[in-house]
Formats: sequence, structure tokens, C-alpha cells
Amino acid sequence: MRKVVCLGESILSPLGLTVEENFSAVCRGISALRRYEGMFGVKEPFIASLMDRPALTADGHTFFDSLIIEAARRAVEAAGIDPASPRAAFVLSSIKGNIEYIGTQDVTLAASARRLANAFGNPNPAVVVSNACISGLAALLQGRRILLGGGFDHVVVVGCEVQSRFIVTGFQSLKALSEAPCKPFDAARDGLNLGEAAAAVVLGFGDSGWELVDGAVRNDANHISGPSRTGEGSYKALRQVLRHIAPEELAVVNVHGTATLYNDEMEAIALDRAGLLDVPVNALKGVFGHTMGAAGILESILSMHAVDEGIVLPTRGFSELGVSRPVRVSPEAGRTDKRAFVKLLSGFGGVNGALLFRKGGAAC
Amino acid sequence: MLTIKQFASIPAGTDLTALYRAAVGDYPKFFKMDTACKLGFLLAEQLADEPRFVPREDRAVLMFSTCGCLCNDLHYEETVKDFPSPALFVYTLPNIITGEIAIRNKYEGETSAYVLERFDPAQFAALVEQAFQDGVTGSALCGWVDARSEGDFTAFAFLVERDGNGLEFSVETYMEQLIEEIKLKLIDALNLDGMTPADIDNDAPLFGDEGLGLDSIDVLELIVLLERNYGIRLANPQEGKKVFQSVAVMADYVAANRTK
Repeated sequence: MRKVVCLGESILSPLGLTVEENFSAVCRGISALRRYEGMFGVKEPFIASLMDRPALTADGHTFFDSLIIEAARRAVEAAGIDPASPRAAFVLSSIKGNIEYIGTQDVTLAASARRLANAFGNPNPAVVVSNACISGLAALLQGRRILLGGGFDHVVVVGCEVQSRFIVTGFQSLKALSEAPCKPFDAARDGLNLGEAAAAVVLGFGDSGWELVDGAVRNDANHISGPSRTGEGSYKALRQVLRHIAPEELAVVNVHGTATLYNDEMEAIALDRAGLLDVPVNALKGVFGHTMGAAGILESILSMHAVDEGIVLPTRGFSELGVSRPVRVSPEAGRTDKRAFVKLLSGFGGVNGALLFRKGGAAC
Repeated sequence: MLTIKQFASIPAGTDLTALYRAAVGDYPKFFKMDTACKLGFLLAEQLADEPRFVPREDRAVLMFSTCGCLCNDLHYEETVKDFPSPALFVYTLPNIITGEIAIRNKYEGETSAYVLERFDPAQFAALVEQAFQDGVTGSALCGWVDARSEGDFTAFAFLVERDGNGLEFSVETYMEQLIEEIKLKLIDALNLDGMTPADIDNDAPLFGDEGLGLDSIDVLELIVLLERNYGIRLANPQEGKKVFQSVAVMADYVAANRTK
């Protein structure tokens, strides 16, 4: 089978508008998480990682549409592909897109996807993957499948989430937000923070570079908002991708690590069941917050970059293990000589996903 | 090759609570669901095969729409100013429909929700086929559920499997079903009593002496038929002459332009 590899990437976040700036910020333990009062007209204060809207909103576009187009443009440029080609396709990952304009304009993700493809003169109908918090991971997997399905040379996968009263009040109503910067896997963790970001990856065929080896999506079939007590779907997704690799070959499992009590405990159980207790684990929500539709892509890109540099990224916000299984959470940056990692995510709707990335070609 | 084991649809305007009471009746969680989830749940009930409620990882659930859960988003937005409703917020995620189906049926395989610009049979079939690249997936419950409001929706779904005995799951199969459906609607709208779909040739002209022999009043009926059933508005009757050449031409036009 032909290998699907990453040809170009981009990240736009409050910490920077290039992959390098974001990577450097993560290594230095920097975060844009801060407290907002009265933001978006939300009554209760909240902690979030938000972007500079006026600076990043293009004329004639919403903030969300501006970000997805700009993230795609930078990834396309990095990959050096022709995005207008009929043999190129666009996949968009988001949960709520332009929802802040509900009631005043067409806020469907379908409309944003059309504007994204139009911005590059691409003739193919774009696909939106909206699979709750695993959307970004599922969109990368979808990009791989489109390529293997035939007829395309390149797929531009773009993930993005912008925050709004709609989303913030929703998470507040679910009592899911922490009043402090979040603490993934920590004993004192008490909820998540929301974040804004856009990230894009251009996928294509190749023999070297980062290969998207395989991925799986599995459902807990248990509860629409509560994680499984046995980590069922997450374990099954992990089991599926671990058919291709031995745990000792993995540099890291970059987990979801939202810092809610139940998510992190569920992931610890799944990691244990999948035989991954000896593999380093890290989470990036303490840096960027939960960037929802962008998370799977943003966190995958940074993990690729880290492994390229021989680094296991630190888990900002973590200090004392607070889950029932002895998972190897990395509090500080560590070294690695391994060349593969697993990206793990879970979300509402009982959905879980795992992706396996491996660096191919000559040693770096 | 993918084949269709079963097909189900729910016509726009159907009273979903009545349908639930008649067909299911013992799953009170149904009443908490938003319209899209109710539709997905009821379609899955029609497509469910034996043995039921046995956990299985080989069945995927893939749901598609254009408007996501817009209908419920509006309900949630109304609560935001005073007391944001967590029960409504959960249903603002477009994939909850797949979760509800998975929970009810213990489908532990892949679940995915997609938003597409419009229902394009070729794109729909390709995305479903690609899901089978997951080596574990042996069958998929895949559906188009577009709930624009509580009474205005499009909802149909297929149970698709690998190498079964049914019709091949492809764009062609979809077009055959659409042609059959249009013939039935034609017979009904034009009061062609006693006629069956088999009596209408796919390619025969609808107007004039050779085919069905329809006249200019009938054109107006067909315009209403397109708008009512497929959300297609023909700006002027002249356009109708092109579209209403034959049932096959009509079906192509509906597939390309339907908004419901």
C-alpha cells in the first residue's frame, strides 16, 4: 500500500502564527491561558486561550473563515502543492464553526467549507468532519482514506475552533470549566479551559517524512456525555493502531488530557489496558486549552515537531499524578530517540480515536 | 463490493412521537433527544437486524447532513441569556446522533458525523466506502439526516454490508431508487389512477403524444412536486421544459439540486 505522509503544516494560535513559534512556546512552558471577565457577554468569568481577533480577521470574512483560509494557505505554501487542482481536496474539522453569528447568517459548517475551497479555486465539494472533540484526528484519518480511495494526490486538512458565548456558556452549564489554568492528569485537576486555534496539514503520498500509518475511531456505546468507566472505546482504538507497532517503539502517547476528572481517569485505564504504562505520556491542554476542532491537528503537528527534535514535550499544569493507573506523564521536557507516536482523543457522543504517526526515510 | 441490506426513510412532516410510540415505545431517552437524533434513532430502529443489543465492533455508524444540528442550536441559543441549558447544549454537537444510535444498539465500532454542502450521491457513496478501509468494519449504518426544523427534514438511511445479497451500494442504485420514488410521486400528484411505476419508461417523454401525454397544467403540478418533496424552486415554467423531458432527466436534476 502507498504511504500517506504529511507534506506541509501550519499552526495559528495565541502563542504564534508559525509552527516554530508555537513549538518554542510549548518547550519554554508558556501559555496564553488567562482570565476573562465579561468576554463575549458571558456573565461568569472564565479562563481561556484566545486569539487577537481584529488582527486576524480578513475583510469580507468572519474570524473563523479567516483563520481556516489562512491556516490552509500557510500549509499549502509549506507543502508547495497546487490547491486548485481537481486532484486536491479539502477536509475541514470543526465543531461549531461560525456559531457566534447564529440567527443572523448562514452558520453551517457546510457554508464555511465551501468558502474554504472557493478561496483556493478548488472545484471539489469539501468534506466537514464534525465528530466532537476528536474531529481533528478523525479529519486526518479521513484525509488518509480519501487518498487511499483513489482519484486524489493531495488533501488539505484544516482544523479550527473560535470561542463564543454559545460555546463558553455551554461548557459552563455542564460544569466542565476550571476556574484556574487546567491541570491534566494531576491530583488537583478540576476541569478544562477552552482555547482558540487553527491548524492545517497537507497530506499526500511519499516515502519519507511523517507517515500517517493508521487510525481508528471507536464508540463506547455507553453515554452521550460521560466517558466510559472502562475506557472501552479508547482502548479499542488503541488496540487497532498498536497492531502496527510495539509499545517500546513509541516516543510518546500524546493524550487528550482535558483535565476533567473523568476524561483523564478514563484515558489512564485505556492506556493500562493497551499495555502502554511504560510509554511517556503528555498533554498540551495546559498550554492551549481545549481547542476542540483544532486539537487533533494542532497536537499532532507539535508532537511530530518534538519527535523530530528528539524531545518529549512537557505537560504544563501537571505535578502530581491523580489517576488510578501509574501512567508515565512527562512533567518536564524529556529526550527520546524513538521515531513514532500515538495521538489519542475522546469526545462527547462516546467517540474515541487513535492515530499512529511514524517518521520514515533516512534518519534525521 | 458494498451491498444494501436494508433501506429506511422518514417523510418530512412525520409525527415522530407517534412513530416512536407505534414502533418502539420502551426507550424514554427518546424524549430528551433533538429532532435530528430522534430521526437517526428511528431510522436505526427500522434498520436494526437480529440479534439485537449484542455489543459489536464491526458495525460503523456514519451520519451526514448539511445543517448539522442547527435546529437544536437555535433552541440552545434561546436559553443562553438566562439559564443556559446543559441538556440542550449536549445536542449542539453534530455527532451526538451517532452516539445515540451506538448506545441504543451497542454498536462499538466507528462512529462519524459529516457535514456536506448538499446531498451528492457520489460523494456520499465514496465516503461510506472509505470507512470500510478500517479492517474491522464489516457493515455500516449510514444515513442522511438533515433537520431544518421540527417538521421540515430529510431523513433516510441504508444498512450497507460487504458482499451481501442485496443491491450494489453505488450512485447507480441510489438513482434507481430515486427514479422509482419520482414515478410514485408523479402518479400520485397527477392522479394517474391505476398506473404503476413499471408503466412509465425512464426515458420516454413526459409531454406530447408519445409518452405520458401531459399538458401545461401538469407542468404546474410538477413544479409543486419538486418544491414540496425536494425543496427545488423553478423560477420560470420554461425551465420546466428542460427538467421535465423524462423521469430520468428529472431524477438527475433532483439529485443535483435537491435541498431536502
